Amino acid sequence: MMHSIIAALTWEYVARNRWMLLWLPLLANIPALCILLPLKSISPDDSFMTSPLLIGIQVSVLLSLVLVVCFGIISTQGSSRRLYRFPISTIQITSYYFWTGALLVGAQVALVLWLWKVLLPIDWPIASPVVFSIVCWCALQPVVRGQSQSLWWIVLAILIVIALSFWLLIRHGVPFQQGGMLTSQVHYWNVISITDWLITFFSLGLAYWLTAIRVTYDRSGRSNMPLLERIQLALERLEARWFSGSWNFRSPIQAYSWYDLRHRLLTIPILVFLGVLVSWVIAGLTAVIKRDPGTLISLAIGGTYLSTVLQVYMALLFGALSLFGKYLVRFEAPEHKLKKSDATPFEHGSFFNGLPISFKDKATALVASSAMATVICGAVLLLSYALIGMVAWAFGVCLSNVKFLNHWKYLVSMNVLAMVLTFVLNNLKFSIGPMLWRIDHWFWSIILAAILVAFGQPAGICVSAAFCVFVLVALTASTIQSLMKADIRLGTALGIWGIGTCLAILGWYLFRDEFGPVGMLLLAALAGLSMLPFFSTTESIRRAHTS
Amino acid sequence: MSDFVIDIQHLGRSFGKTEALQDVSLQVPRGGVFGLIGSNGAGKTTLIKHILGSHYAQRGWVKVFGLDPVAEPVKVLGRIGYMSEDRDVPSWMRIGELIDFTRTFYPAWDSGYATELTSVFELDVKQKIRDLSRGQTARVCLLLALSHRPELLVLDEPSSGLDPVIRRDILTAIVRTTTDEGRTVLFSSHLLDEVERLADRVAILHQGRILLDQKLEDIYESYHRVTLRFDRSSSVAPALEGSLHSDGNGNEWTYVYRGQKGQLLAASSQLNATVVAELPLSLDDIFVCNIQGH
Amino acid sequence: MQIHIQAQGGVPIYLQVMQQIKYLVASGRLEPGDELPSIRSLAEQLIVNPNTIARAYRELETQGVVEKRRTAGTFVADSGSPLARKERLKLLKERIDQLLTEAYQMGFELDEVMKLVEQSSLISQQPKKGPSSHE
Repeated sequence: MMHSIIAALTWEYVARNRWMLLWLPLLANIPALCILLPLKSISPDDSFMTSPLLIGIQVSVLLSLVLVVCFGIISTQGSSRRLYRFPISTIQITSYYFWTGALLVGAQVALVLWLWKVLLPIDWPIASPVVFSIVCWCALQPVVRGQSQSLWWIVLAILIVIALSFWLLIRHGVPFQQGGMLTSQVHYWNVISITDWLITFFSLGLAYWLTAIRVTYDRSGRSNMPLLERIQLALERLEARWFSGSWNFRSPIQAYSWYDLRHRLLTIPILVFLGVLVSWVIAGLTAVIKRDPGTLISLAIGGTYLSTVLQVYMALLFGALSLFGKYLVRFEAPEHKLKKSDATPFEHGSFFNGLPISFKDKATALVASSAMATVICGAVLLLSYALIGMVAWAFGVCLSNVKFLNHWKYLVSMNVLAMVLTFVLNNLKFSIGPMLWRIDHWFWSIILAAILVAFGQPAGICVSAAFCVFVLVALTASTIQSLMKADIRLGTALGIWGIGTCLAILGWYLFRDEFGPVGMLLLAALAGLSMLPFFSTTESIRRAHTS
Repeated sequence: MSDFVIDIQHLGRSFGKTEALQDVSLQVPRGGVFGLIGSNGAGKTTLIKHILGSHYAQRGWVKVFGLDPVAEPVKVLGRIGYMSEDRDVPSWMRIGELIDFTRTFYPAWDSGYATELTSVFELDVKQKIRDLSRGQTARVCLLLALSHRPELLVLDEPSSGLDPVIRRDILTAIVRTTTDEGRTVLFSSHLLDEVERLADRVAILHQGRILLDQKLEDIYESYHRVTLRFDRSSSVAPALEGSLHSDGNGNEWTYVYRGQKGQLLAASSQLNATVVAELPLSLDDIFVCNIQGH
Repeated sequence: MQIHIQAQGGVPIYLQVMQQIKYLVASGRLEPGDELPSIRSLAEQLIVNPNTIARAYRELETQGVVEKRRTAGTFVADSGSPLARKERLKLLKERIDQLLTEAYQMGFELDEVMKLVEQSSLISQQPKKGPSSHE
């Protein structure tokens, strides 16, 4: 039946990943739509469509889309190591993963962008992002197709990301001077020029060659070149000595919180840190080339802003995976089932279920680690802004000229919003997870939405009102339940409600001019969601522990 | 009742349409080794998860140390040393980190003992779990289970997939635990030579049911394999009341008989048969016969 | 003490331990007054449940092969005691029964067996260092 290797591999890929292939395009869409739909209701006029802000959003959303799609394709393809023992040549293995992956990436990006074009009145180019995403995929293949975890490949990956970012920004007309992304010279990447095609073919060829080398090395068991290996060993020994101190946890809560942070949550702060680092490198290089410190500042600001978006986006991705991840894992091939505690970072295996820690303590630990991860991200971003301030003062650049820093209100509130969102998303599995499947919680939201629709209210208001009610119902229900089960003290509960309500009111007051009813409702929902983990986590843990 | 460390009565459990456990009743007395035998998929791990409070009892009830493990997880788990079948300790941790992490949860942790076990098991605390072999991971899990000197040691298939050298370590650790006063061991295995060596009491779990729950010494007295010689030759084995298995041809037939020796002799003389040979019967044979009987 | 047990051999472990100790005593490798290993250490050496060893020791004590001295441990009993002698006789009888059964099954007559026994006894002239019997 399998007449060719390609047919066999393709069949195996589709059979193994049926469900993932169904879910993945959806997953790629949802976060972007979450960002884009509310925008539509905030400002419906046409000038907005060509404004630099929207172009900036397009760039961020595009990068996130490429990230998700590439990540999805890589994880569904699985490791090429499985094929090594078959009588297939290395070139065949490399080619199969490389080119079919590229095809799938291009197709998915095209599909998603076309969908947005249909659903939203947004006229974004499709061709250039498709080409860009294919180049991204191919450029990262040499790094990904190998078993050995080497520092050097990570460095290479960072360099590749920097180069790709440069390309993207240049083609969007970013003038690399004061104002950065938010000047009127910024435009969409509508035309694929000859240079673009040259860059594409060159990088595809180079990437393919490097990937083939990597796979060959991998298959023959050689991991690195000897010199690099020795350097790597030295670095590892250094790391071992540095961490040789023993941990003295003062309580089970502290220990569990440490574990959760390192296991589940540390990825996001690391990514944020890398994002900020890459931004500063790009900014520094450009400033040196252009000999203009203003460029440094604007690019650094833009990069930090992008890192914030990246932070929220990754938190959303992980949050969604934590909610739906177990459905995806179930359909993986058996050989992909790693040790159970690693398979999904959000399930806890038998070892952790056997530890004598009370549900309340475990819940406290998980909420604390989410908060800690958020705080670390915030600290990194704060550091970046502080550095921007110092550089501005050192070079005598006037910050008030730089767009986006005019209003401290926006800067501070945007970052606070990002932090709150990250905290909420980190806790998604334990706070909203169990609530999602309860019809009695959705009941009131649906009723309200129906009433609003009957009264002819626009879709945005109906949806956000329904969501707000859902959060409120969930919050009230879990508050009552946690008080009844003595998971939380009455004083603490009142305190949390008080703080949450105050924050919501503060937000409403600050943004009373900017936000329409949709924004206000969503803000209230967000406040509710940030309170929810304190009440619902213990019960979620209790349910997860005993089935 | 307080003599029983684990007391399970009429436990039933289904997962969807599959009945994992049916009317399981089991009592593990204090201060002994209890061997739970069963083939893969018989329900051993499900039963153990009920003991640890990871599953609630759909039918019947479970008491550990007289407490409900679902309602009071901390009190129960704090006195149990558990080694899971898949040994899923986080692979990114170093052994030292894992020890530091785990000891925070057990007030009764004996650091000296943990250090002693680290050197006896020849473990390097700086190594990451993912770089360890299967046997070394098993040793780490055993170390974590033993170091707080638990009242009850629960081992789910402790030797599965391990070479004889590591198995000796694990079995020796079980023996050492038993010689300490008042401590109980429950281990599940499908390797019957281990169960035979170590268990005081044995239960066989098959397709969710308990087929047998007896002291090991009583088991030997309750099962016999004899060859009977009959006057007449026949093509099928003459029916012997109480036999689980029969084999042979013509005049001589070998039976595996469940019951006391006296009953067997009486039954055989009723059939006008003489006992011509008494053959050894291992726990393996007893297990297989019990399974086949169902 | 050189004892080896085999699980799954069909013979209960405590019986194997008992038989081997009895054999060691009968062949003189364990002399009266020798101390047997403690239950715990023998259990750890053989990797068996200590209760099994305890049972073996108990039965051996009942049969007079060993004796338990308070706070001092378990020791091989004096061979002159009638119980010990009785045990040795029992062991020997078992061996003889086995020998005769096999011989008859192979088709030998009693006088042939006796002749073979005498021949073997002549060959193994060296007096074994065993418990002396004054009977």
